[in-house]
Formats: sequence, structure tokens, C-alpha cells
Amino acid sequence: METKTLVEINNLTHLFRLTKSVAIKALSDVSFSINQGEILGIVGESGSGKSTLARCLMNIHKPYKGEIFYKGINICDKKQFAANKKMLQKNRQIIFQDSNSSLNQRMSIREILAEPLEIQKLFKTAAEREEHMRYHMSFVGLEPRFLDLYPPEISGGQRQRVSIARALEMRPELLVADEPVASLDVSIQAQIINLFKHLQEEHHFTLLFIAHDLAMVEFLCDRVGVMYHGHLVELAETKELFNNPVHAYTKALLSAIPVPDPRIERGRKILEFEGVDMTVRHDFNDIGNGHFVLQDEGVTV
Amino acid sequence: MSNLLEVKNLSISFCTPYGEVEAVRDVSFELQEGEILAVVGESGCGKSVLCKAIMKLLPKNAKLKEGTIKTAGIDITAYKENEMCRLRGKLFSMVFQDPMTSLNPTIPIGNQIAEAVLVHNPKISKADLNRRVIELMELVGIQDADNRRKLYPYNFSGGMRQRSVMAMALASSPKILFADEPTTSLDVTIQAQILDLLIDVQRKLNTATVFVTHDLGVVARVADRVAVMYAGKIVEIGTAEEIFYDPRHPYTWGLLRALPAYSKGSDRLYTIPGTPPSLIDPPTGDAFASRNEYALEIDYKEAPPMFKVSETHYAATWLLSEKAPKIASPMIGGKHGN
Amino acid sequence: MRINRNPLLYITKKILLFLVSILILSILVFYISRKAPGDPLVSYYGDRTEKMSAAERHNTMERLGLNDPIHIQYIRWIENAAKGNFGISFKYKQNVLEVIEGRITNTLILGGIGFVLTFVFSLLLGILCAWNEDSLLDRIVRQVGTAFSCIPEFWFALVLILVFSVSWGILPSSGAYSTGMENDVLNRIRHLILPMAVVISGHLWYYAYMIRNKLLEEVRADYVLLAKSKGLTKKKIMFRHCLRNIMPTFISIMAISVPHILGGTYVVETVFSYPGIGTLSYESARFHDYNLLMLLCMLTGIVVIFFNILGQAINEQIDPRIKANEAVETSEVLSYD
Repeated sequence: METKTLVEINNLTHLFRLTKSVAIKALSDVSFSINQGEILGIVGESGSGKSTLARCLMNIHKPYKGEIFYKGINICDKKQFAANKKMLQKNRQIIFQDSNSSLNQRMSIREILAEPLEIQKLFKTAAEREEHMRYHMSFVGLEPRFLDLYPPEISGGQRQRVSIARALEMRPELLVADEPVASLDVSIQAQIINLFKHLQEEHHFTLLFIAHDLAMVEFLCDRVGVMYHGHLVELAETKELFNNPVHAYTKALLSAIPVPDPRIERGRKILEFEGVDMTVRHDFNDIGNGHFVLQDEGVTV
Repeated sequence: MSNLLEVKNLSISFCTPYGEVEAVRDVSFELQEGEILAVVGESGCGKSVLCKAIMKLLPKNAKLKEGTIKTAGIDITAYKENEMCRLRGKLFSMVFQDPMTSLNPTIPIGNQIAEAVLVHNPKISKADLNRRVIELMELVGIQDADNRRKLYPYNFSGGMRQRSVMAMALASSPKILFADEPTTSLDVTIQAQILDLLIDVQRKLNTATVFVTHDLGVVARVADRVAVMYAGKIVEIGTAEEIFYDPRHPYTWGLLRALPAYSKGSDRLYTIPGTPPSLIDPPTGDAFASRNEYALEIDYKEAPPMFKVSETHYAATWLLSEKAPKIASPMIGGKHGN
Repeated sequence: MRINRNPLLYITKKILLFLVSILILSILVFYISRKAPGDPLVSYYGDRTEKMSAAERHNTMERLGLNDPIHIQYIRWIENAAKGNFGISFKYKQNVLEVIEGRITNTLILGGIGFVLTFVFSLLLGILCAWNEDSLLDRIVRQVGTAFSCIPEFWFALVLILVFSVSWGILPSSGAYSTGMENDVLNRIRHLILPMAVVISGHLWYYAYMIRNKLLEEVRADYVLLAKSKGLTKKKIMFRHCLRNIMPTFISIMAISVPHILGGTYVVETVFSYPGIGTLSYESARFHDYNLLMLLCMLTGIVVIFFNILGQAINEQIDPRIKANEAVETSEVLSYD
């Protein structure tokens, strides 16, 4: 099957200004692309720039440097963004980690689901809209009676599913999920991961899945990118990355995943990562089969 | 070997505006010197309440309904606050989930550790106190302790804060350490370091540890024995090998099967159907019955007792009764089968 | 640490804000007092004013400079004020500074002691209530506090006068001391009891409740659980950890409360005819004693604005959100260096 590129990110750099003279580099020179219909995982520790990346993709942050092309439209360019605003806002949706704070507590689930539909004017009649909302509620495994409840009245897993329904009802092409299962219990995590699998297989969604749980990423994703201190240090197909990690940080990260098997886990050594000098120039090299690694300039394989 | 901690038929309830929440129901277990017991379960199963109940750190609306708590042979069930103060820190102490909030933001780390030392050793000289603080910080792997003790919590990263909390918990060399999800809010690489530190300290000081977590991978790394909790009860308890390689309770099966590691190669993750029951008015019989695909008729009528599997392994499911139909564990052919 | 980044600029900004506020206040008070209906000559000549002819009136007004347009009067006033000359009081025919001099001590005694006692009591009561959360005492304090916040101060003052002075006759109802007993400390204290009771009871509950809630917020923080598990007693946790952590908030509340308590003192002075600045302000406004009114308003305004700005500044420095942000900033800066 021919792969089509949905999103292309070129040399994305983002700074958070603290004062006029001090800034934090949350993303530095990140380049990669997301193919249509794939689940791309992004892993890394807190503060590595994963969420910033998601937010730049959704136009929540305006990047300091670099370009993001969504189907050839440069969304960082004000004019191009404005010309395609409606399409972009509908086709890209995001799910946040904490559905507790990302859903307005004083709006019923129905109001939460209806709001984006109203803004985009997707339906002419209220009945059609209601039908659409009910369909998506059942799609994420919630009964229609939940529509009349308020977020504090339902459990964390159910809230997260409301967040997902809210994103899916827009029929997006690209779904960005920023740690969607981190705050949930194991059995509920499994339900949501299964839902994502189903979405990809049946509806050909493209999903950017940001997580720190590597076991989940390994199970769910087609390709995985590893971030470290604002850099994308490695990107490869899931099997390739987990079987043959190249970057020292990736190796350390993978070795730290606990295995639910006492005999293996007790004796296992965890690799230490000393950190690398990120100030020297690096190249993001393809070492074959779409396996990219951040290497010191001049290193060739 | 004598039991360091013995909990018998412990029941804890919370009085809330919505009714009485039975957070811990009829829990019994023992802890031996120098062992690590992991308590596993989903959020709201009562695992954290159990630890706080033993240390009597629960809020006022919590009530000890029934049961006894014995530490080192002494019954402390009826101990008052001032008696508990003498035990806390010395006999047992605790490490909490969120190192971001469990330190006082306005007091330097070193002073907070010193405070923990002073509680049970108020006559210590200033020089000895400083030496002890530095020694504790080095024990938990904080380098350059002499300079770092003057820093405030906000100067420290999450991992370093958790190390400081451990230093405080270990200040008076307690016999029992309760660790309430100590690595949940940390990154995997830091989590691994803290777990190794915990094992290391436990070996050096021979501290018995009750390790509360929801992460079975973490359990596999640290635990000697495992207790699985569901809806306020311990449903299965045994050595780590027994729980991971020969689990008997359907809930334990479900927990293990929901892990991605057990679903490698298959298309979907296993999910436990339904949601945990409300503990305000828990169902009669086995609380897990409605989510249990192997549920028997008796499960809805009568709660199962703890059936003995081996000297160390017990599980509360009617499937172990002699009259029950023989069901092959779905775990066989799981992870190791492929 | 915003203030440390450029303390000079920060302080300069605050001082400028202060000066501008004072200037605007002086213009407003000057304009409003002169536009308010009433006859300024009454305070100067008393009843004789009624018998004055139009020409006499005109001459007198001219002499006092009251015929000029308001802005000319204002400029003249501010020029003199800059030289330290605030004019004479129409009523007392004395330099206004001298008029105030005799009264200001009384207000400082009432307001100052009232302020200190309010905060000592509210801190004690706050700690006591937080310590015994939801006990009978706590509930009573909360109820009484609600009740007192609804009772106007002058009404409560009248009730006290009625009970202690009129019915029982055990405490004096007005003045700062009995005639001829100026230096009798005991006599002064007896006169202070009722006004002080009103000043304190008007503010005590609110601040006690605030301190109680702040303390309980701390008590529920996670670090208290850790401190407990270390083996610290409730007393040590309360005083070494919780109280220490609310101190900055407490101090900023104190700074902000100065204007409130001052305002309360003025009302109380008027009701008890207590010879202080409050009574004087009331009189001067009523009788259009312009120069006196201006000086009193400026004095009060300076105190109020100063403490407001001070309270705000303290708050800005200790705002936990700012602190928390700094914490993130430092840790991230370190990790990216």
C-alpha cells in the first residue's frame, strides 16, 4: 500500500520565554512526518517536549521556528491558516491527559458534545445533531443516558471516553492524544487502547499517541519516536525500535520498562543514561528502513 | 520467625454525605521481618487506606469498625494519637505518592530531614545531627549532600524529592516502611532508580516494606510476596512467583491479562468487563461476581472465604472449592505460550 | 523572584503609583467638598452668619479666598501645602496641624491597640478553631462571625452604650477621659473599653475565620501526612509547619486590614464622641471646615493607600502560583542548561 504523508514537520523549534533574556527550549529542531492512517507513538520523560509538540500541531502554541504542513498547508503561516481555518479546526482533534480539568464541570455531557458541532455548524436540525451525539456515545461505549450527566458525576474512565467522543464526533482525520490513558486504571486503559485500534482499522484514523508507558506504545503503535530534552533522538517502526534501539537514551529508556515477570525482572540490569552534550550539532540520520537516529554531526553508518 | 506486623479482620469505613463507604473489608495479613509485600489493585480498592489505617493517618471521618493490628507482638489497635506519635518514624514510617506535594515548600530539605531525626532523638548534638543528615542523604543516593541539604524542595527534581522523602522516612531506622505508590508520578527511568534504591535500602537495613502500587511490572521487580486487593478485600495473597505464575483468582487473571505484555501478538488487549462496585453498599456475595466470566451461582449469594492453595498462597474464590467445576486457568498459554 | 530581578524599578513603580493616587485623591476631595451644598462660613462665624449682609458675606468669602474658581483655589492650596502650610481651621481658628495634634494620639491609641488586639485574638481564635475543627467552639465562632458581619458597627456601639452605660452605669459612654482626669491611666482605660470592644468585634471574626481556613488548608496538605508519619506531634506540625507557612499570608492580610480597621475606628469615634481624628473628620465635613477636612482626608488617604499598596506588594511576592512557576522555571532551566 502506498503511504501518503498527512503531516510534515520541518525543523520545529519552540521556546518558552521566562523573561526577556531567559528562554527554555522545549523543542529543538524536530523534523518528522506522520503518514495517513498510522498510529505514531511519541515517548519520552516529562519535560521532554512531547506535549509542546502536540500543542504546536494543534496551533495552541505558535512555534518559534520551523514549519508544520498539514496536507500541504503551512499551518504556522497566518494567511494559509486563516484561509483553511474551518477545515483545519474540524479535521484535527486533541484529547488531553486530564479529562477532569479539560471538561467544563458545569456543562452537561450533552452541552460539551454539542458545542463543537454548533461552532462548525455541521447539522441543520437539533434532532440530527442529537442522533450524531448518541451514535458517538455508543461508539465509545457509553449509554445515551450519560448525555444528561455532568463530568463530576461519572468516573475517570468514562470522562476520558467523553473526551474521546468529543474529539471523534468531528470525524477528524488526525487525532492527537496527549497521554490519554496515563491517569486510568489498567483495565480501563486496555479498553481505550482497544478503541484506538478499532478506530484505526475500521475508520482509518491517523493517531499521534503521546505516552510514557512504553508497553502500551509497543502494543498500539506502528511507528515510535523517542524524545529527549526537546530533541527527537530516534524514530523507527515499533518492532525495529524495540528490538534494535540505537540511541543511548532509547536503550536506557527501554531497559527501564518493568516486565511483569518476577524471575526476569529481578535479575534485570537497568542501563544508565549519562546524558549527551546537546549543544553540539546533530544530524537526524536515516540508518536504513526508515530508522532515524540523532547522531553527532559527521557520523555515518 | 515472628511476625512484625499482624493485621486481623480489619474493616475501615468512611462516613460521607452519601453514606458509609466500606473502604477496607475484613482484611487479614502478616508481614515478616525484612520482606517486601506488594499490595496491588485498581484505584479505590482500599490499598492506600489500609496502610494509612495501620499508621492511624486517616482523616477523622474514618472509623476502624473491626479487627486488630499488632506490631511486634503489641496490640496497637486502640492506641491514641500520643502513643502513635512515639511509634511513627521509629517503628514504621511512610513514603507517599507525590513527592511534589509531600515536602513542606518553605523549609530546606536538610532541616526537614533533621526534624525527622530529632523526633526520636531530641538530645543529639548539633554536629552529630548534621552528620546523620548527610549520612541519610548519602544512603538514599543524594550526592553532594553537604551543599544540597540547604536547598528548598523546589530546587529538586521529582526523583530527588522522592529520595529526600525516603531519607526522612528512614531517619529513625523504622522496622516497617509503607510505600504508597512511591514511583507512580515519576518517569520510568527515575522509577527504576527509586525501585533499586528501595531494594538496596531494604537489604542494608533489613526494613520490612509494604509496597502499594497498581503497576504489576513494578511488583515483579520488588516484591517477595503479593496481595491483590479488590473492592476493599484481599482476594489473593502469595509469593510473587505464585501470583505471577500460578494465579488462582479470576480478578488476578484479569489484571495480568490486561497488560500489553500478555497480549503480545494478539490484536486486542484483554479487558475486564464492567466497573468496580460502589463501596457505599457493596453487593452481597463476591464483589467481583458481576465482572467475573467464571462466576458461579454461589458467588452472588455468599462471599467466598480464603481457600488455601499452598502454605503461602491463599485466594478468595469459590472456584477453589471442592464442589466447584474445574476451570483451567486462562493464564496458561498466555505470555509464555508465545 | 520578581523583586530581585530589578528591585529599584519595582519600588519606583510602587512609589509612583502611590503619589499619583494621593494626587487624584486630593483633587477629588477638594472638588467634592467645595461643590457639596452648605455654607462654609457657618463653621467660621457660627450663628452670626445668618445676620450677615450680602456685602459682608462677599468680603468674608473674598478674604478666605473662597470666591476664586475651584482650580485656582486648589493650586493655591497645593502650593501652600508643599511648603507645609495647610491653612487654618475655620472652626477652631487655629493652624489645622495644631488642631490635629491634640487628637491624633487618641485615635492612634484606639486604632493601634484595636489593631494589635484584633490580630492577636484572631490568630489565637483561628488556631483554636483549626485545632478543634468542627468542634462546638469552632461552630460557635463561625456562627457568631456571620452574625457580627451583618451587624452595623454603630448599632452594636449603641447597644453597648445602652447596656453598660445607661442600664448598668458601669462604663462611661463618651469621651476619652473624664474632665480633669487627662493623666489618669485607669480612667482612660475605662473610657476605651466600649469603643475598643466595638472596633475589635467588628473585625475579629472575619480574620479569625480567614486564619482558620488558611490553617486548615495547610493541615490538609500532603506534607502534613509525611510530617505525621515521621512521628511529629500535632502541636509541632501545627506550629512548626502550618503556622509558619501561613505567616506571609497573615502579614499581608494585616497590611490590607489597616484601612478597614481605620474606617471602623472613625465610625466608632463618632458614636462614642471620642475626641479623635474620626470625630474631627465628621465635624469638618459637616461644617465645611475645608482646610481641616483636606488635611484629614489626605492623612487618612495616605495611610489607606500606603497599606493597600504594601499589602498588594506582599501578596505579589508570596503568591504561591508565582512561587510554583518559579520552581518549574528553575528546574527546567537547570535541566536544559
